[in-house]
Amino acid sequence: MIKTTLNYKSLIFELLKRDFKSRYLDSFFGLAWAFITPLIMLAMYSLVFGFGLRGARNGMPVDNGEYVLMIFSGLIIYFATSECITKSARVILINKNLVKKVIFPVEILPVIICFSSLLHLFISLNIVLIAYVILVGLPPIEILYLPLLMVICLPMFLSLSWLIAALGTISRDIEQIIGLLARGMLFISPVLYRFDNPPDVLNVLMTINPISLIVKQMRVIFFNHSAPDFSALLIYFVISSIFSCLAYLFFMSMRKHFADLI
Amino acid sequence: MNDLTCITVCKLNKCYNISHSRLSKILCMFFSSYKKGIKELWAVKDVSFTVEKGESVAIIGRNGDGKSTLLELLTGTREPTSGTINIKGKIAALLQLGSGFNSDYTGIENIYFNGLLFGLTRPQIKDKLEEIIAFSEIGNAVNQPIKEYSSGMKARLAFSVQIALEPDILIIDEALSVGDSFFQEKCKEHLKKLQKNGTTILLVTHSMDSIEGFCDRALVLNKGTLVFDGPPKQAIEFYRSKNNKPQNKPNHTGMIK
Repeated sequence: MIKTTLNYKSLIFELLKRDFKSRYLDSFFGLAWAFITPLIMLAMYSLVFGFGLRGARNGMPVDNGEYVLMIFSGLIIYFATSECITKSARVILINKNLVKKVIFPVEILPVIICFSSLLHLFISLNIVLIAYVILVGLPPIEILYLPLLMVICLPMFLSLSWLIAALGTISRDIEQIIGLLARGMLFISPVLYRFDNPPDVLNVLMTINPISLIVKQMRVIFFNHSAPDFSALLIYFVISSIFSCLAYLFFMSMRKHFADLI
Repeated sequence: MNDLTCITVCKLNKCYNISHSRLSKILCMFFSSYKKGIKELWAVKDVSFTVEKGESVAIIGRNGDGKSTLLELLTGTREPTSGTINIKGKIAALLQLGSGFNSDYTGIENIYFNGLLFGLTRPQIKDKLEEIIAFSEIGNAVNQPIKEYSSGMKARLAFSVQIALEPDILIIDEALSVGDSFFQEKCKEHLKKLQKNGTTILLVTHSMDSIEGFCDRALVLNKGTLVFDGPPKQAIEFYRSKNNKPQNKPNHTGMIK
């Protein structure tokens, strides 16, 4: 698995560049959209959670910017994950030509989605950092752990992406189901909640949710100003790596049927 | 398989399961015994042949006789139902016009993309860039997105890229027929050069002239079965006589010309 990825590293890089470029190529603002979109999202969420949902007292937001940032830092993880899985569901169908008519390593298509999601996560993370400086002050030194969190996201992205890409090719219903799951994922994650002891049902669901741990650890870094829980992250990394191997094997065993299914 | 053989195909079968219901198609895929509502279509039936290094082999047959499926199986984009394929060497394939191209990208970007797919590095592709552009004769259009190309220009670029990759085995599926006669001539000249250099060529075409003038051998497919394997001249005669029924003029096969 790692070998294939390495073999095609220049191809992956090229396709990643294309993916990034094609998304912004024909728009007037071009690459700026990669920054404008998360910025405007941040503005919208500050409005909703700063003044709206939290119940502003006498027209003043309850908290300082910290609360908004807390929500937003979780949201960027959610956005990246949801983009990764919704795109994976269609990726083989969209690239019909490459599957049927070209000698092409189809297994790298999900890999490209994952890296593209990570790249966008990285951009949003920088915006969070800038917003943090403006709203709260200098970020803690622990933000140096943030790249580690991103690396830990990768096997989780890969396992979801390979699995969903294969399933989505077999049955088109997967696309709809994933659409719903992606939305549900937000509400059963710690992104929008702040309590430390959620009710049992929610707690179980949150534990299953692959983004929960990352979101929580991100908050620990930003708002508790302490190092993340390394043992939890290590376990998470090992488990998601095992899952990504299984997902890869599943994808490869389904691969031979792709041309007949699309 | 001796040193000279580069393609060995043994008892190759490909069956498409045709069904109106996607569910039965999927069930049939996982449980081969499930056959409800499935119509089987054997596109390639019990085909065996070998191709030696440097040989040029034409595959002839009428529409729907399994030529394209056979090529797709050889390139590995489709999985056979049963049988084995052994291939020695690197393949470059022109299976369908413009299929390896991304229409949003310029000619140059697509050249790089195809080169990387074939396994070349960026500097290696850069070395070939000029040669490819010169051969395709599309000039400054290489800097335009492929979507603005005419189909002839696409064919020219696709062909120029594939031959520049210097594959061991070149597979061409009727792609030549899109270019104008001058370009076709030029391609044939170049293919002859490749032949001399030892490139193995598999060619699907309806142009009987190019088979006679160009190939060492021809395979005739009929409804998925290999019915003739031998010198091109006899193959064409065989093919003509087989399809030459009074109500069914054979000449529709010559439409490329």
